[in-house]
Amino acid sequence: MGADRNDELPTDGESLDALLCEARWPSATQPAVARLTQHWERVWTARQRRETLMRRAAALAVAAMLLGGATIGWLRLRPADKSIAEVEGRSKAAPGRSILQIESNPVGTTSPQSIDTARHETRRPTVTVQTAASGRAKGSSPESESTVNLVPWRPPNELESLMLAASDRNRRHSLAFARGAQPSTKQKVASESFVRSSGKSHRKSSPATDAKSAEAAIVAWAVKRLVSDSGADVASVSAQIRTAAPSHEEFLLATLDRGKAPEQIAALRLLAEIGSAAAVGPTLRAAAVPELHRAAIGTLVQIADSSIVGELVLGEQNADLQRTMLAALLSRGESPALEQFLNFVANEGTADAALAAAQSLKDPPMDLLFSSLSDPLEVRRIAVARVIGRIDGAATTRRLIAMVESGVNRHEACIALLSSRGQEAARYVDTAAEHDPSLAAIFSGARLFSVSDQPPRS
Amino acid sequence: MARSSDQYELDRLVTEHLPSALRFATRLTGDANTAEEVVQDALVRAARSWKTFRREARFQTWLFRIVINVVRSRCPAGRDRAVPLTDDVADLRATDPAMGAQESELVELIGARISALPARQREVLVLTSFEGLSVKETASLLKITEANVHATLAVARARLTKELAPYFARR
Repeated sequence: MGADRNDELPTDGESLDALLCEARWPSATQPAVARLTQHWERVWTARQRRETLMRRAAALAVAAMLLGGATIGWLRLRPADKSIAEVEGRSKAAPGRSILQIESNPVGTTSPQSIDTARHETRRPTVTVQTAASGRAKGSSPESESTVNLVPWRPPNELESLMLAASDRNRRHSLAFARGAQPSTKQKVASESFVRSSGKSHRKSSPATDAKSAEAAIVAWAVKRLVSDSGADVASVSAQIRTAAPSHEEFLLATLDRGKAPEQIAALRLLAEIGSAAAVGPTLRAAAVPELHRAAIGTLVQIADSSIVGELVLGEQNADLQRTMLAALLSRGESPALEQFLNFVANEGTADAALAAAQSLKDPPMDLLFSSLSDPLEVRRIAVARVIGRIDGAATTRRLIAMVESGVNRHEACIALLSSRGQEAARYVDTAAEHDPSLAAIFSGARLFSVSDQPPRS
Repeated sequence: MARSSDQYELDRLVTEHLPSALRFATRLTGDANTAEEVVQDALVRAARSWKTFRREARFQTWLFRIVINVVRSRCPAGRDRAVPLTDDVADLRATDPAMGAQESELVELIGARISALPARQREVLVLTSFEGLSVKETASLLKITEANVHATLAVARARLTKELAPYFARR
């Protein structure tokens, strides 16, 4: 499009095209192009770096997911594999060994180890039954007979039977699941027998449900035992179900909710040993029932927070229970519980019950009490001095005398000595008051804070 | 590896077409500094969306499309710089038309008039008359029909003819 330089006015498109050809714009300078090139390099490099980082992050995320999945899968499958390997390995390598291990643990005191060992024994029920008959049963192998000769055998008790059966059920389900096979009818009948023996019906067949059923049976056994034998060792029974039934609290709370009164009391006794904070609410509700009140209080003093116990003390009408709760507060040996207790000592309405509770304790937390003699609050210092004095004892008196003579918490120690009912403390107070006028003045002042039911010493 | 080779090729193509993109932006905006800013933005967008570039398309067309989008985003529709030719040309015509300096100013004025056209008309005119794109390519780039390109081009030319009439008279 060359320049059309005619002098006529434009009448067609060619003239316009000629004009357009002459159009000029500010030309792109070389520095501008250089700047843009640098800009592009910066942008492009940053973009590539970012994409590289994103690719690496995505690869890392995928790797982490795979690793996490593999770990979870391994953790889930590992116990089942291990139990199968153990079962098969032990039964092949040392068939008579488990019986020896049962003997090595006293049967009367069932420990987790003995239970675990006994579990392996039930994997060969034929041998067990034959040995129980002292080798007289038909079909007993020479190996089992030699075992009988080596160690005496005794049948498992009721709890052990339940636990062994539950363990067998779980193991059998794991094996069936791992091998993709269903248990035989015979196996089902054998594995369900223990549940029927505890009076529970069994309908679901999943391993998780079976485990729950077994735990329920174990807890039911423990409750039944406490109901039938009020002198049974609650701590021992609790320790057994704690080991055998991880969900024991759930079943105990269900018993507390729906059981009969004796069963509820038994459940409360067990909860006192192995209950958690989750059981506090249901136990508080049970405390409102007159026939469960005492047992519920006994549980609450063990599992409830000290502030809750303090509230219960205030609302309690029964003096014995009130004293029990106060003693429980003091025996906890914790600062919050001690503060609650000292509040009751400082309160004249409850001071006698609190001091009586302190006196009834066999093993009071003396170190905590003596350290509380330095409490910033004078009311608490005086209260704890009265408690120490009431607890009394030769060692305590000597410690108090040493404090008086060394000048450490002298005022509080004097109150404690004046509150003491021991002869040694009384003699020291009389002697010291006679020989040391300054001590006499301190004792005189401290007498105002000492226990009011004491007769005046001078 | 294919992605890496694509990246190298894109880098080369951008570097190669950078001057033409700057020139195109200058024609669209009518100002060198604005054009440089437009191309900077366009480069950022190109780096961000380089995966959308398909080999069957001309790289220049792809880059021009980005430049056009940047220009449009910087000057939204309805705010075009379509300024009617008024006193400038009249003044130029009133002065001595024989002066060489004024001749230079006049040809720049033609560029300014083109850059002051409404956006669509400016884009069509610049692409077809100055960047050498065919009607079909222009229609594809602007995502309009070829008939629309023809119509828009006719309107733009008529407008320029009218606005540059004093300049024709001077010639």
